[in-house]
Amino acid sequence: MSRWEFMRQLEELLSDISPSEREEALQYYNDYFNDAGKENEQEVIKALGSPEQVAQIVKDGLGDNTGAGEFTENGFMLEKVQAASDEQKGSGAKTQEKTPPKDQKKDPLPGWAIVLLVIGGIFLSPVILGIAGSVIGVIFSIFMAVIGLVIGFGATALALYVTAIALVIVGFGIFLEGPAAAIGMIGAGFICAALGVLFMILTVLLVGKLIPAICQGIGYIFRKIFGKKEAA
Amino acid sequence: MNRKQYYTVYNIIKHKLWIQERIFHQEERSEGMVFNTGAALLDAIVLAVVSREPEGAYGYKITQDVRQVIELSESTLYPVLRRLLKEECLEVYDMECAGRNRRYYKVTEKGRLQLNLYESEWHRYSAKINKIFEG
Repeated sequence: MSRWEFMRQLEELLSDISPSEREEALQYYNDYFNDAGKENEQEVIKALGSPEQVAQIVKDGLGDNTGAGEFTENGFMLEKVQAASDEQKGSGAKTQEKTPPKDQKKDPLPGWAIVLLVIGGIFLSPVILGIAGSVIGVIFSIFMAVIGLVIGFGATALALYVTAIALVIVGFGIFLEGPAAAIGMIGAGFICAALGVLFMILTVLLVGKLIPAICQGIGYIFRKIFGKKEAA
Repeated sequence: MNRKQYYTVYNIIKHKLWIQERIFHQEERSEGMVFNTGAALLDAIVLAVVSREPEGAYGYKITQDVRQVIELSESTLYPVLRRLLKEECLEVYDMECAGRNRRYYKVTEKGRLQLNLYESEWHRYSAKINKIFEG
């Protein structure tokens, strides 16, 4: 291939870029031939590569993409051109390296599977609704049971406090008439107060620890059931 | 070991073998390049090469000068020069030479600042690498 043949092919290949850009590029490569000297013409053609490669390099450079190229074992190369030349050399290994196999888990479901799932969902809807209803019922009853426990414990604690206060007051009232009975009553009052504190602690524990734990447990079960379905 | 890990290990081994081969054949291919370099370093080298000539330099000369330091396919410098022109780091003027116009590239004030930045960054970077190598 002669220099003129090279330039003619390059001009043709660059016909789809703007005239000013084409002029610039052609002038650059024309100058390059001139400055290399007539005696080096064939060497320059060999060093520049095929007109197709040069055209690709020029076109890739138009997009102002600064990070598109890298120095590799073959010198500075633009990625696309490198891929093209790798293919030419018949070494597909490099391009394969750049695209590791896709993780199959992330592949979306094929269309037929989605259709099957929808149809199955419609046919099984009575069963699914029944199960869902009972699950919600169970959860609701657990909640109510816990709330009932809280109210019961709280009421017990309150009743014990009232009893303790009453016993102490009565005990002081009858102190002069029968000191032994009075001391017994006051003692019983203190025992009641202690039991009240115990129930109070139980109530607080129930509200502070058990209810959040149950909520978390329900959330965990829901994630197990629905999270898996989303991922599948 | 899952597929991804297997793939990573495979690549690492392949890369190591490749480097060893490169070092082994260094004498045969006198200008073999072990390290890959990014586009910023090429910008810096081109700016440095052009700035060495007070009157500016032409495309062929710039290519040959750059090729003395790094391996560079002869056709790849055009987009780099074009981009540096667009970024106003270089400017061009035509000068008559042996009966035809030759296009000269010259570093602008902006290009000089950019080159200074690259140089100081390079010194900082290479000093760090040297420190690692030499302990």
